Amino acid sequence: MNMHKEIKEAFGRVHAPEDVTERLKQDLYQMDLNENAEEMTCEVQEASNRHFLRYPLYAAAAVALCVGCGLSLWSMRELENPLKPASTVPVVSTTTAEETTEPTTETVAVPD
Amino acid sequence: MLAMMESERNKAVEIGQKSRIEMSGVTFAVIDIYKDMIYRTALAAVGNNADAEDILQEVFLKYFKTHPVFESREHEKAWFLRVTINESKNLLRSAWRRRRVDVDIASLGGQTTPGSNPVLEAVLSLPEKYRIAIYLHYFEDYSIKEIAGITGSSESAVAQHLTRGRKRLEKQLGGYRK
Repeated sequence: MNMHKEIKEAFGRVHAPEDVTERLKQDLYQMDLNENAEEMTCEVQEASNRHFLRYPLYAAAAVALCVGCGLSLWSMRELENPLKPASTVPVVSTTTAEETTEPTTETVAVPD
Repeated sequence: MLAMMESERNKAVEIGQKSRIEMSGVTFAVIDIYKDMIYRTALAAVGNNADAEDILQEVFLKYFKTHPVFESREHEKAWFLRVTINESKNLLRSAWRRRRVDVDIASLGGQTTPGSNPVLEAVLSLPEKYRIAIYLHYFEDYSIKEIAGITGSSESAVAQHLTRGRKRLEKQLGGYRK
């Protein structure tokens, strides 16, 4: 006997069950319908959400602009005053003639 | 009717169109063309009817979800075979699968009665790797190189599986020649 032929005949008698394939087609068709329905609802929802979010976005942009301007003004003000009170400046003290100290020579009497 | 469906399918493949049920009904045509091939491959891979039905559904679900576009009819067929074998391997590796030692011949869709298809019974009693190689070579007429490409094994491994599978079949059935 020819193995090739016998195996072909053996598997040739095997077919996918009809009820399984029919159920599969129905399931796929339902999945496709559900997918299309979801896509349509998404489109409608996206439009309304876009409209709804417009004003909060404008407000957020305005706040960000104001904060940015404020920060830039503050940094400009900082640049105008490079010397701060905390910076160390040498203090020059003024002294009078009596207070100046000069080297003095003392004569000391030497006994004979 | 199959020829009409095949011509529709070929048209879709030629223009690289993704098939959707709403667009042209080509998906249903694909099911009718490949359902037997996928079922037989799954049966050869897993060895029982119930798991083969599950794999049949999984393969077409994957096809529907991924919408693959094929260059040719052969490319499409090879895709289905590869996915079927991969799904079968995943199922066999699954820890929750109930392992059946005996082949449930009575559950073969009522198409065979015990003992009426001894060759099929003998093939399904072989180890998984031998079954797949025997089925793809003797039924689907793929070469060793093509089987290696589909299954992801080396050519030498496929040749070994074929040789050993054939020897076991000869021993079981007796009197077979190449």
